[in-house]
Amino acid sequence: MEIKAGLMDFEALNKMVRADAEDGKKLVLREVNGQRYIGCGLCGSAEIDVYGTPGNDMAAFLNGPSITVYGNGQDQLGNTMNAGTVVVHGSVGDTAGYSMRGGEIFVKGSAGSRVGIHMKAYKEHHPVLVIGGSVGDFCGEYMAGGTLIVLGQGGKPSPITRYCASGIHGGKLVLRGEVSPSQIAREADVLPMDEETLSEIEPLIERWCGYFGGDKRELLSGKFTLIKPKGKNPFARLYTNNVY
Amino acid sequence: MKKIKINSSLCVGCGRCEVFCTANHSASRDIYKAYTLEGLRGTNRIHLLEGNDGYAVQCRQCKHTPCVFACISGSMHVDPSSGAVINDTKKCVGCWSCIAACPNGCVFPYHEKDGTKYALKCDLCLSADGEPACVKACPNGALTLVEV
Amino acid sequence: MSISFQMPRYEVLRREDRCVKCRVCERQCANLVHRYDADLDKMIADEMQCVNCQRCVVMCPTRAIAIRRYPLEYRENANWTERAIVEIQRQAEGGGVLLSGMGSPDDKPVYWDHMMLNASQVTNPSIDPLREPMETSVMLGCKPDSVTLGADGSVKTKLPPQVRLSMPVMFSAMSFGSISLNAQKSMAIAAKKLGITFNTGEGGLHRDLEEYKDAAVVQVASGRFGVHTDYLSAGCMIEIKIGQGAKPGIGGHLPGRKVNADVSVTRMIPEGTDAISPAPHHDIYSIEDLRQLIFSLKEATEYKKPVCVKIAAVHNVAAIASGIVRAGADVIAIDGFRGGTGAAPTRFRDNVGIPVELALAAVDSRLRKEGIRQRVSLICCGSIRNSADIVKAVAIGADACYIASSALIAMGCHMCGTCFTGKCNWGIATQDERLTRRLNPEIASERLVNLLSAWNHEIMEMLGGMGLNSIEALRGNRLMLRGIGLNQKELDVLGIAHAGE
Repeated sequence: MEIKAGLMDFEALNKMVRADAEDGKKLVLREVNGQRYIGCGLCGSAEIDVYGTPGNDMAAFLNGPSITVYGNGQDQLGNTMNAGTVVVHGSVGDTAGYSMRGGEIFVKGSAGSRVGIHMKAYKEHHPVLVIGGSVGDFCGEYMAGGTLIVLGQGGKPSPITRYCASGIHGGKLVLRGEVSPSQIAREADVLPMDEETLSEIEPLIERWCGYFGGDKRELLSGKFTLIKPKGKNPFARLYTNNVY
Repeated sequence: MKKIKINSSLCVGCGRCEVFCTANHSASRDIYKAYTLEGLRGTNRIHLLEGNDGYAVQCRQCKHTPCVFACISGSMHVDPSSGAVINDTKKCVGCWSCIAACPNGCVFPYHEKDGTKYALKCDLCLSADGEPACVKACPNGALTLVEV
Repeated sequence: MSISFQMPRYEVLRREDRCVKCRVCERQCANLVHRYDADLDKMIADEMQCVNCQRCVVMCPTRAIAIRRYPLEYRENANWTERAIVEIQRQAEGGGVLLSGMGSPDDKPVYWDHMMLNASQVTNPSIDPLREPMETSVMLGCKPDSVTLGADGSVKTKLPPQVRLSMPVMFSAMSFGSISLNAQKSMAIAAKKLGITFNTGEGGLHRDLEEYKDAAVVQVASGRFGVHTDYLSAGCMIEIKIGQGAKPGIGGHLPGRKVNADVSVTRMIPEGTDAISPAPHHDIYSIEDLRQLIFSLKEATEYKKPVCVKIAAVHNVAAIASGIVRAGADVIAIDGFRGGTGAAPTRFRDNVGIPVELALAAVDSRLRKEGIRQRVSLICCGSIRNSADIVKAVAIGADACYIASSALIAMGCHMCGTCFTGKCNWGIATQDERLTRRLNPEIASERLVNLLSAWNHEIMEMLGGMGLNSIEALRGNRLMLRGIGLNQKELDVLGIAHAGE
């Protein structure tokens, strides 16, 4: 099943996607020109291939299907995603994986700022976000659960920039490359890699290589920093009960 | 035939049922006078279980009336017009056989100051006329009067 | 060791000629104020703990109790009031940000009380609602700019999705977590019975309320708790919470100790973890981002539900509202500074935001001026206390009003303002099972139905008195209002004339 997006309006394109997406079947979108909200709120187990550049909020509220992008993604990819898989053979923009609760996002290249804000895990839902390149400011802010991996390829001096993991109270970040504690918010613990996390991320790195190529052993042998929350209540403010 | 039902998930453990039961079986029908002048503290026929947030115990009007069978004086009887189980406290000799027989623990011994003793149990406020006082006093609808 | 300067705020007056020492008050006070002392053979009160919730007053079988202000009579000072002094003392002892419950109690103008309604006499006959039909139902949603009719009179224009309300009132957002499930259930039952809606707040939709989902407005707040496709498709409308009148500009924080098993399931976060709602939504940094979120929600629900955006009434609210209309919202809810809350920093509650009456007038006027008023329905909230407030709000330009504190008061709230302690004696602002059982949804929902049915009749009477037989004819009809005791600037902002003109 193929749909040629071309210059179609997003509303019309998404209506066709919803109608044509079938569980377990593949749907191919060609000549995608920045149409927004592709796969938004889609349930089931369809497989969607996107050729071109999808617009903002692709896979927002996604609940099951897998979407592969042969191109770059834009902003808010996987916003409040609940389940499913998104694979991007390129880079993505800002705010990818905002408030993700489950599912997985694999990105070959880099991402912008505010990646993985307020990711949260719940019961069997464990969100995973793996970026091949580097990310910008406020990565993993308010993180409450899940796993965020930044592999730091692509030649930048560090996999992150500033204010990483501000307000983190759950979950973990795994950063590969040169990371200095001054780049990490004070609510986070900056730790060396441990065996447990290494064995947790190994299958995820293997999958990343499976999608995009690359040497799993070379990636796993890099210099890793583990970011975890110091406490469960990062912005605890002291309150005084008032009677007025 | 009617009985009072308790829904324990709605009982808030306040004890208003005890107070209004006492007052409704007094001569003055006034709560303050009942407790002070008439000295009726402890004559409530419905009891809030101690240390429990929500359970009031009162007679369940058992069809098989074990208390009536246990009674040696004939004071415990089924009232012919209403079908309710009532204890005639004037006939009662205070042997407490009914208390032992009751499977729900809702018959209570009472001693007056002059030594007279008798068993107290819920009479659906038939002696007072009108809706049972505990049902009316319950703030949360935990006590209801139902047909059986 | 030093001494606290804090004195009791209230004293318990117990009439000895009424108290029978039945201990009902002792059993009912979650703050442990009352106690039977066996040595003294009397009921005594530790008034330091009393918050004036009036539970004991209502429950006492002989009405032996009254709660009065503790006679802490500081020297008179219009500037250094008792409150100003006590708040400093508390902060000097506690060292924290002052936290308050319920809406601002400050003596700032309540503009509803400065507006009078018209009545028909002589020139335009009034209508008797007991004799003639009166329409109080409202359709919330975007209305088309024009309507094309077919040859047979049927409407050819495709209408955007609407929500039908049987009367211009809805229950406002109060999350499960801030209030008990029994409280939410009571509102859900009443909303379904009355033909209006209740609001999940940002705590998600509890599975016990699923049978009422058609009457639910589901809220998407910055924490996105419990937000997934089933949740979005469950309700009749989706509400994006940008701000709240009681605390504009800041986020929310439900402490982990209040996230019990039930709250954890509905919010979809692990038990005992903090629920942080950041300010702002970190994917909304501009009006274009808001438009994106609105459309992503519309796409996720196949354009079948209207999307509402709730904002706090602040400066420039008219411009903000205009932007929100152009961002694609179908409904805008404006929450004034008087709005209630379970917990808000005192300084924000009392000093940030503007009165909703002025905000509503400014927004309605601006949207009409720009020719886009029909593209949204406006909901007014932030202390609507009675049916007259509703009628005045509609006259200024609202389509409907949200009520929250009024609904809680109907269910038993006595406005003691200590919601954040989690010891609500009326079973509303607590998750303690011993307290939440006190709110029987059957009884509480009946009280809500009584209240709103009564208000509906009053609205019909007031409409009839003005010579109108439909709430539609009142909406934005500022000529039906006259101000009293307002200065010219206030009259200008409200867009009404002064009484006598």
